[in-house]
Amino acid sequence: MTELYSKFSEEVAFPRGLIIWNYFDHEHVVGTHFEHYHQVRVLAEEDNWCFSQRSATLPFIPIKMRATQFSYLKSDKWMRSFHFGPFGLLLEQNFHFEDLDRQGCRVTVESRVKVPRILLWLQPFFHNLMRRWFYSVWEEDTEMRERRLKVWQLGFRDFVGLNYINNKTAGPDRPDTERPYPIELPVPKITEISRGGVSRPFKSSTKLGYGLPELPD
Amino acid sequence: MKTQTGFVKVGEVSELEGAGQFSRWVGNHDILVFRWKGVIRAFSNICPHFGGPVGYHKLADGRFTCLWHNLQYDADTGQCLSVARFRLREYKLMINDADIFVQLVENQRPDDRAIL
Repeated sequence: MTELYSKFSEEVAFPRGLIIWNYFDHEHVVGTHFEHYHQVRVLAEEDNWCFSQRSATLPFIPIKMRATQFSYLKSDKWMRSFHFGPFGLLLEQNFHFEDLDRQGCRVTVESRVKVPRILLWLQPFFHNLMRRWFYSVWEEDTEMRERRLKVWQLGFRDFVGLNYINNKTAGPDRPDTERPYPIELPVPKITEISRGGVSRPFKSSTKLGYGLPELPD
Repeated sequence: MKTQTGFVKVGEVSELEGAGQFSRWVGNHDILVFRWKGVIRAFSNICPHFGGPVGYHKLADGRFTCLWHNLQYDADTGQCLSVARFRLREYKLMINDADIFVQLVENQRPDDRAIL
C-alpha cells in the first residue's frame, strides 16, 4: 500500500471560533453548498464529534457519491475527519486552526488516503481533486463567514436573531467589533438532519445572491 | 434618505423587475423586499436560526428558502415552516413615487417593546 497526500493552507480574516463553527455546521452542506451536496443526515453526535452520512457530486467525477463521515474536535485548534467512501476507501483529514491575530486565522488541511502501490500515479489527480474541492466550497463558505461575523458583531443570538429587529427598537450605531467569538459548536441540531436527514428542497433555484449594494448616504 | 416619519429608503420599485424581489442592507438591517400577490412587502432578510440570507433564492411556491440551512418561510406571513418558533419581522413599507421606504424603528422606548 502507499499513500496519496495533499496539503494546503489559507489565511482568513475571521476568528477561529467562527471557522470551527462553520466546519462543524453539518446542516449547511445541503444549504450553502447545495450545488455540490444532495443529502446529509446526522447519525449521531455529541458535544465535540459528529457521525454523518452525506451524498455529493465531486469535481472531475460527475457522479453522485455517498460517504459516511466521522469528525471530531481533538482540541480547540485541531479537527480530525474520516470519510468512508466507496470501494473501502478511507479519506483521513486533519484541519489545523492557528490564530494569526485577534480576528484572523490560518487553516491548514491535510488529506491522505491509502491505496495499492499500483495507484501511486493518481497522486497529482488526488491533490488537484482535494484542492479543487477545497476552493469550491471555500468561496461559498467565505460569503457565509462574512455574513455570520457581521450579524454576530451586531449582537446576533442563535435561535433568536437580533433583538433590535425583533423588538423594532433602535439598533447599535455601529457593529461591536470587539465582541468575542466563542468556540461553540452548533450542537444539537434543531432541523430534521438528526432524524431522517435533510436534502435540497428544490430541484433548481434562481440565485439572487447575498443582496444588492447598499445605497449611498 | 430618511423621511420625517422615520421611514428609510431601501430601494426603487424598478429593482423588483425581473426576479420580483431584492434584498439590501440599510444601516444595521438586512431587508428583503418582494412583490407577492400584487403587493410590495418587506421582511427581515436575517434568518433567526443562524443569521442566513432568507432571500438568497428566488421565492418559489410561496416560500422563501434560507440559503444556509434551507429553513423555509411563508411569504404571506413570514412564519417559518421548518421551525415553528421562528418568524420574520415584517417592516412597515411606504412607496413614494418610485422609491420604496421602510420603517426601521417603531418602538422608541424599551418599555414599548413588542416581543416576537
